Amino acid sequence: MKHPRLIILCGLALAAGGFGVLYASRTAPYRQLEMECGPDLAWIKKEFRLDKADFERVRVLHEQYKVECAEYCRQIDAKHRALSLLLATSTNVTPEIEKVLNDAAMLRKQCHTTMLRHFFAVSRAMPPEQGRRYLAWMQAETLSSTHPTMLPHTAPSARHDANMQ
Amino acid sequence: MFSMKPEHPSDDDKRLHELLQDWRVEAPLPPRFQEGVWRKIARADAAAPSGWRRGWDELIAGWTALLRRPVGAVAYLSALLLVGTVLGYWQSDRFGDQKEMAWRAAYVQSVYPYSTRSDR
Repeated sequence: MKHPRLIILCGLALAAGGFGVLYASRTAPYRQLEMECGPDLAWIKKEFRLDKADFERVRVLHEQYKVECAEYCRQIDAKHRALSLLLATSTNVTPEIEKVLNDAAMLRKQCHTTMLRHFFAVSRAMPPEQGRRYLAWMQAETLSSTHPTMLPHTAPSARHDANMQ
Repeated sequence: MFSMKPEHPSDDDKRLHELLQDWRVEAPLPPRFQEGVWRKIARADAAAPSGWRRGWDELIAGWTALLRRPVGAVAYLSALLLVGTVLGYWQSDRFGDQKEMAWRAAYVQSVYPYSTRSDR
């Protein structure tokens, strides 16, 4: 014990080693899961504790849905571009603008319907309890309103009245 | 012959004492000797380490003394190992939380095109 500097260095090396070993061992499962499933599906697999077969079914559904979803997004984007062009040259709501708005709304409705259908399909691909949990979670994340009422600047009593009606 | 160990040390001490008592410096002091002495004292005071520096030096000396003892060295190594593992545990927890949050957001965005929040 005659070399305090050597002991100090050994202590620092021990601290770094302890940190490295624990950090690497506890984060390895996350890195492996992300590498295997990709960031979007890694959460599904971990959160809903899916086994290999269940996860494979969910993965196939997810890949199919992504193609459909991308197509809807492309069509909705095209409608938005058409609407922008019409709005740039109009001073009123013309029948063409109305038609594009209707088309865009129809596409959004179809998109939402397809999304809901996908959520149900995914929930059925999971064990029942996890499927129910998945549905509840997705509903809260995607379909629940971000505010309690569509009426802006209403007092709580007025909102209550609106709800009662 | 001069001997390192006198036979009667008290006699030698007595003679030395008498010799020192009789010794008189007759050479004159150099000019401004007193002033020079005070200047040297002032310089030495200015060069002395400040309070925090002295405290730091004492701390280092204390640590060094502690590390020279086996029990101190073992305690130091154990403490650093503990600090490293606690930090590793804490950081890996944070890593896991951040990953799960990012994965969740990535999933919601991949199935719900209207999602704008990335930190759900």
